[in-house]
Amino acid sequence: GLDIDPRSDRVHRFNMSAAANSSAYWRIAGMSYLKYSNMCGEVVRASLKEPFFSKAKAREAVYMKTSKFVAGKPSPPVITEVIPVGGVVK
Amino acid sequence: SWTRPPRARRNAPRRDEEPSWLRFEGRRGPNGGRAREAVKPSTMDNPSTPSAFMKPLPEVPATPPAKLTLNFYVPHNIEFDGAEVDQVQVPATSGDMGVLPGHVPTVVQMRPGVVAVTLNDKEVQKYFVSSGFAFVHADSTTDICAVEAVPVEQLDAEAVKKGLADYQAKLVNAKDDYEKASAQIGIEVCGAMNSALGN
Repeated sequence: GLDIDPRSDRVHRFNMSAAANSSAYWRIAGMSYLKYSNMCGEVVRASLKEPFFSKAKAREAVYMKTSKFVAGKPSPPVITEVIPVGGVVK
Repeated sequence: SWTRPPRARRNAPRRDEEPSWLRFEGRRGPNGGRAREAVKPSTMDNPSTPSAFMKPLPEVPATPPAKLTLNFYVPHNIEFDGAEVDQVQVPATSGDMGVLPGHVPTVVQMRPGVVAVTLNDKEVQKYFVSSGFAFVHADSTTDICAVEAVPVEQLDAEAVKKGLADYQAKLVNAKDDYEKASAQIGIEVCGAMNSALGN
């Protein structure tokens, strides 16, 4: 299956200039805005009161199912979790 | 009586050389002469551009409207959809910003903070927003898009204080830039939640 590191945006770095960088601290550390924004969301979800906290857990997981076609037939799908249920920020 | 045939245009090709589909546009070029363009008759329509499918932009009113039209969306929920409100306060990265009807069109990036919606002179609804963007359009339609927006009442003060302490400890023990940034994000958001709860 696919090998996705939840922190995979560290691997693909486009246009990371360290010299005279006046960007935000997360950009300098190599995070994209999406990563930053989703991490902020996780921190907020982790601080909710009880009924809302459990409902929010369901929102956190991001996964994909891949199914390779071999000789014209789909093989059983492989589920890859991009962001596990507990979130990445731990 | 015999009339002379029309005088041939300058640079006109001879009849047998000119392809049958070649037509002359007759527009005057920049130097006043005639510009010739070959236009092949086409069996296809001209391609449509995206603007052909768009609704026309809303009219910008001459005087600011009485109320702001607010659209406040998160990916999993619609908090406000076309609601008429008096004012919205938005926590932008460049500082807190109040939006009244007639505000100059703006796009701002929001930091973790509180969006306060003033519904009608008395009711103020506060939402803690994790981050996102706010757009104010020329016709006083305000769009606020966030990843997480929770009413401040749904935040757990104990969990916030514990989270703040945890992330501060993680910052001290961070091994590389990425972990340091993750801890800083936690501190930033928990600190903002703390202030939102009044601590």
